[in-house]
Amino acid sequence: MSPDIRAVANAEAVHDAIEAGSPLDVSGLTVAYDRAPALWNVDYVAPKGGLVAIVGPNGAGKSTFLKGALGLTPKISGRVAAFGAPVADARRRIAYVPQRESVDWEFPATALDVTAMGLYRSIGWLRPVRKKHRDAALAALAELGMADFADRQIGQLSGGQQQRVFLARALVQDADLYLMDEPFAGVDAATERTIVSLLRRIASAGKTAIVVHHDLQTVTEYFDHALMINVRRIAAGPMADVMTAENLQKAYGGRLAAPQLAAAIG
Amino acid sequence: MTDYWQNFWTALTLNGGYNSVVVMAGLAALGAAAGPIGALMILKRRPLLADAVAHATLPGVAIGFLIGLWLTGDGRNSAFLLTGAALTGALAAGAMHLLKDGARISEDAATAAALSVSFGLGVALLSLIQALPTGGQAGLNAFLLGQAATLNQSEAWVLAVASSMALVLLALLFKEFALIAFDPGGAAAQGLPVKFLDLMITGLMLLLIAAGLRAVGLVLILALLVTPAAAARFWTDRLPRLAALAATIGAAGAYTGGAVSTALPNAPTGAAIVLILSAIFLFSLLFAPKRGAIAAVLRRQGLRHALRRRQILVELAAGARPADPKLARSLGWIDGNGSSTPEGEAAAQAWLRDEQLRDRYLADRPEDAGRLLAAAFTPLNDLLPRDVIAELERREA
Ligand SMILES: Nc1ncnc2c1ncn2[C@@H]1O[C@H](COP(=O)(O)OP(=O)(O)OP(=O)(O)O)[C@@H](O)[C@H]1O
Ligand SMILES: [Mg+2]
Repeated sequence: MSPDIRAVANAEAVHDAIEAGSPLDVSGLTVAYDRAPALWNVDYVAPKGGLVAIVGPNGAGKSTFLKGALGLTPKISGRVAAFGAPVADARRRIAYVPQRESVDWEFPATALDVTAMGLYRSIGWLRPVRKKHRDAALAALAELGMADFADRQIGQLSGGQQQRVFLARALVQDADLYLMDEPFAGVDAATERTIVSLLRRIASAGKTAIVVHHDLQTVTEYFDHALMINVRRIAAGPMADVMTAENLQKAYGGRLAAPQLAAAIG
Repeated sequence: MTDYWQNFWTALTLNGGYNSVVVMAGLAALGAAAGPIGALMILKRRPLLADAVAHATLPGVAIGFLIGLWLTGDGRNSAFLLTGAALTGALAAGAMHLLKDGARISEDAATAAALSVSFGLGVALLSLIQALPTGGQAGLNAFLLGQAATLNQSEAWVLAVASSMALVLLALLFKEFALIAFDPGGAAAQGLPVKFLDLMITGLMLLLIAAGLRAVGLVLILALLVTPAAAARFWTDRLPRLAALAATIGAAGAYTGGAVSTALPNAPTGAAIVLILSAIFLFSLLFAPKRGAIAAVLRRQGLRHALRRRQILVELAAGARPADPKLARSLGWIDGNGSSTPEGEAAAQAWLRDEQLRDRYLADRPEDAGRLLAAAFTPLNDLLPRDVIAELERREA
């Protein structure tokens, strides 16, 4: 395809998606940091409602995809729309859960304080956090089984508990699209179950969650759709169509052991 | 000596006349705003930015002096001096912001470079000015160490108004400032203008530095930014309280320091403030109830003592002789011959029962292991409701 035709095709795809109001519509997204591109010309249209896993090896650009889609890293090219509007106009409908390592957990704040931060935009400028906001934050914490820890300084929580606080902060935003960067990283089985049931509730409310997920053993069980990337987009669509031996070979090369492959393909 | 006390008291109680009242109010506002701003700088891990900006005001002061001299024949015009200070301070702040985003050198290196270049330039210009055949150079020393008592009326008003403005803005936007300090990515995803707010924090800091320059001095205003927040951190784990406490400490330190330097006309205000703030910091470091050094030592000794006690109970329960007879005797658990007393037997049995019930409880509820361990030295009777204990005992029997 020549660049011109590509551009036209892209424009049409964007147009269709805006008509349809897909929760997230990314076309031709290219992001580079210092030297080489971390993400090259990725197109993706997320389904309306459902759970999407982003899979790919370390350094594939999964986090970069989320950040680029949200406009947190400057993109070289590409267009992003959310719910048929530019992302900047749809921020209130999007909740983002960054990788846990991205913040300073020594920060002087309690689990409740951090959860309430999810409400800052709806509280608005120049207005203080009130009791009803704290109540909403507490309810979100309770939903993740963290009510007992509401007054703990966040540095005194375990990794899994910190992850739950981040999820509570996203939950309290009451968004329609959730973007989560490795919420399952380093959590125990109980926390993993909590997160999975949270995701199921999001999906059954007709909302969408796009989640970076590393564990190919569980990805088919937890999610219905997948976006597989390794700098470029390898495949996207319903789980079964994406998780083929051929695609996995393209994304991971020879690095996957046979049992992992078997589990992923199912 | 009584004279000094008299003067100190007069200034402290705002009886030192109109000018002194404005200066004292201005200093209090300056300290109150500097405390929380400093807290934000520390939390953003950029306290050195304040350092670089403060030092970068020096060449501005010198240039302001020269321009004032050239235009009006007198270099001591505070409008020129402060404008110059604010401009070169802003230049340094801008350079640091650009470096942070674009360059490949570390922020520490950038700060060190900005700091030494601008301060060196300032010192060179100052020595040039000292050599000029004109008067008024002596007044420039006030910019280094601060001289609150000699502020004229317009300088006092600049201090009071600029500091109060910064304080109000800070209070209005503190929620957003806190969010971008904790999680800039999350803040941007929510649609907050992170870069703008970041610049705003730096801008407020610059405003405070420029406003306080003449009264507190450029070297020591740093202490006013950083020390209150550092001291307040010992007392609380929550940012709103930290900010309020830093504001109070800053205001109290600046206010009292101002009174001291009024009482001793040759004492630099900045030095007085730094001494007071350092005393508060030291007090916090030592005596804060949870995070203070003394509390930490006591906590550790308490734990060690509890562990030694427990070890003796283990030994008594096993029918062995305690390896630490001194402590065992002082607790009344063994007699002079080293054999256990009835009290010792009872304590050992109680401990054994406690331990067994703990195991039984944990077998049912492994998720409580952490909480139970955290209370390892609290008797189970004080931890669990009576009926739960009764149930455990029934099953143990
Ligand atoms: N801030 C940054 N500056 C420079 N390079 C970066 C930056 N962030 C990421 N990269 C590079 O971009 C590439 C993609 O990184 P990204 O974090 O998106 O990968 P990922 O798929 O999320 O990996 P992981 O599974 O390890 O989280 C990597 O090669 C990484 O080294
Ligand atoms: Mg990542």
